[in-house]
Amino acid sequence: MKGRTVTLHSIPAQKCLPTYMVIDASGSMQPHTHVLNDTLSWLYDSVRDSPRVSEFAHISLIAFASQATLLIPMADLEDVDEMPGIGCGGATDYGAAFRLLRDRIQVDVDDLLDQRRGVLRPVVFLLTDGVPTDQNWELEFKRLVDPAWGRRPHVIAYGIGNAQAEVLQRVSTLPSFLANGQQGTEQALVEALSGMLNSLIASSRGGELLVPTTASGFDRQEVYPEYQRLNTEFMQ
Amino acid sequence: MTAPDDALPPVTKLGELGELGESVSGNNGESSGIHPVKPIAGVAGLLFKSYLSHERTEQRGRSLDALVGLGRNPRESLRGDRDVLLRGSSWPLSRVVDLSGVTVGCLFRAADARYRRDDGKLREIDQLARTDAQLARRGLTVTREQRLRLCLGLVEFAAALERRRLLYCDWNYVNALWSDEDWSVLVIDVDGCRAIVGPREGVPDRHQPNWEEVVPRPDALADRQTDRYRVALLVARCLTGERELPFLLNRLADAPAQEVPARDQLLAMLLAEDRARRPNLELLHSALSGTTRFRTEIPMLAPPPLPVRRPRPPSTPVTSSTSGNTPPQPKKPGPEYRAAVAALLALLGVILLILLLHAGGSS
Repeated sequence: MKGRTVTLHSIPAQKCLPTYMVIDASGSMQPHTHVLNDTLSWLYDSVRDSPRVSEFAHISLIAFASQATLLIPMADLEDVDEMPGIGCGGATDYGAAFRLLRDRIQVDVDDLLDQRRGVLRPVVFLLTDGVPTDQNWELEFKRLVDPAWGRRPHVIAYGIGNAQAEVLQRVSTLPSFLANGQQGTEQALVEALSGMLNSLIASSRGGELLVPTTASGFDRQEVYPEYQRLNTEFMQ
Repeated sequence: MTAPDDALPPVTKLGELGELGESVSGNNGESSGIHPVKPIAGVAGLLFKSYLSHERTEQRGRSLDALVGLGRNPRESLRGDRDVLLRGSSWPLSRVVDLSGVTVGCLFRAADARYRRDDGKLREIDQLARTDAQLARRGLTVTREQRLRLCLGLVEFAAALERRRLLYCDWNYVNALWSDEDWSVLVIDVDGCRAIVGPREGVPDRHQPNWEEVVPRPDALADRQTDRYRVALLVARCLTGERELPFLLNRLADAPAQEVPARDQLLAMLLAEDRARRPNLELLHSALSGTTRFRTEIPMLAPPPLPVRRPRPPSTPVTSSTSGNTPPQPKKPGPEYRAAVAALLALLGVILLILLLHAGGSS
């Protein structure tokens, strides 16, 4: 075929929202392991069932307890054969999760840019049922969302069980959600992950991050003033 | 048993709908919900689409009246297109007004069982627009002929809209449903179609991430060329299963003409340097059905260079941790592990055999 060459800049880049699901797998989550894994499997099936969602919201799964573990590297879930199981036990080291997140965002955004995608600011959905047991969590969070770091992500936290509003506000850059006790922990867990999925479905339609404004059985927590300044924008 | 669609009045009062059923769809920016309603004038299986306040305009009402009227126009010359449009879509059957006569929504037929999966969800074309290998991983097989048949139905519908000077613009993975019984297509959300007069008339576009034209109108309006581009893009994605534009364009350009039906037509619609020269949808239909061999001298852009494509990640999840502690759950041995064990056992067997033979030879 003959013709002049279209430069890639003139082709609309396929938008991509790097999405991190960060799951608290500490000892207090142990009684809910089965529900957690079932719900994650359901979420995995739902995303794979909608290629338009999976190609827009590339997903990485991180579990953390006494350490943080990368369970699914950033990928279109269409290309991931199975959802790994999460086992719960140990402490609640938020700092380890935030350190790993920062490292992975650096790698993943580079990788997506290499694929010539229009990479939106990453989003982190954090699900926790308690409070941090490490000393450095707040410092690590500030590093993660440091305004001087161009790739700082949006963070939306969902708190269930013994999670505390003040802590949630301090680890979120967008309104967070704390279970209000009107439903059991396991139902709250399902609702939280459903909320994340709905956010991704809506975002894929709009081509930009659309965040939930309410969550059934949760009270919305406003953003800590220090973090009220992030915008959705393309990465470079 | 249900009465024919034209038993419905062209305009229905909101109060006649009775109690609305639970919405089958959420707020999509245009409507607040889509609700099942009781049979009206003997017509069963109806849905009421309730518009958000910013959509309740006089212009919307006039557009709906034109669409409802087209669906019941008895003129013989319209019959072919009318049948295609009614058969191939959830065509609006009646405009719904409130007490003060303001248009608040419309009535249309729900998609029938052909377009639903066993779990009741709609069978969106999103699920079909995947490569054979991706479908196979989900236990699905769709032949080239079946893909072609679906695309023919889609383009037949789009061409009828074009002949009636109606712009749809909303072509995407969600608004077309497919059937694996008869490989037909049902286009939804067609109540948003807008009539145009001149071939260059433009209307405000609907934001469609990943459906933007390679060569858009300078004023960013949508026109019939927008529909041609998006239909060609949807058809090319469905025929090949390739979704990302750079890969799709290269795949089309590199494929032998006989491998992708209407390949040259699709390329011209996607890559015409002058967007006004994009071939029309009737030509695409002819090319897909094999009745026309398309030849063109339309100047076209070349496909872009291919970006990096990452290989599929390994089937066993890769794990790592910041402190090197145990991952949350032990992994099951994968096929590579089992193959390695088998090879090791075979090697040990061979060594044992050699030793035995050697020992036998020495004694």
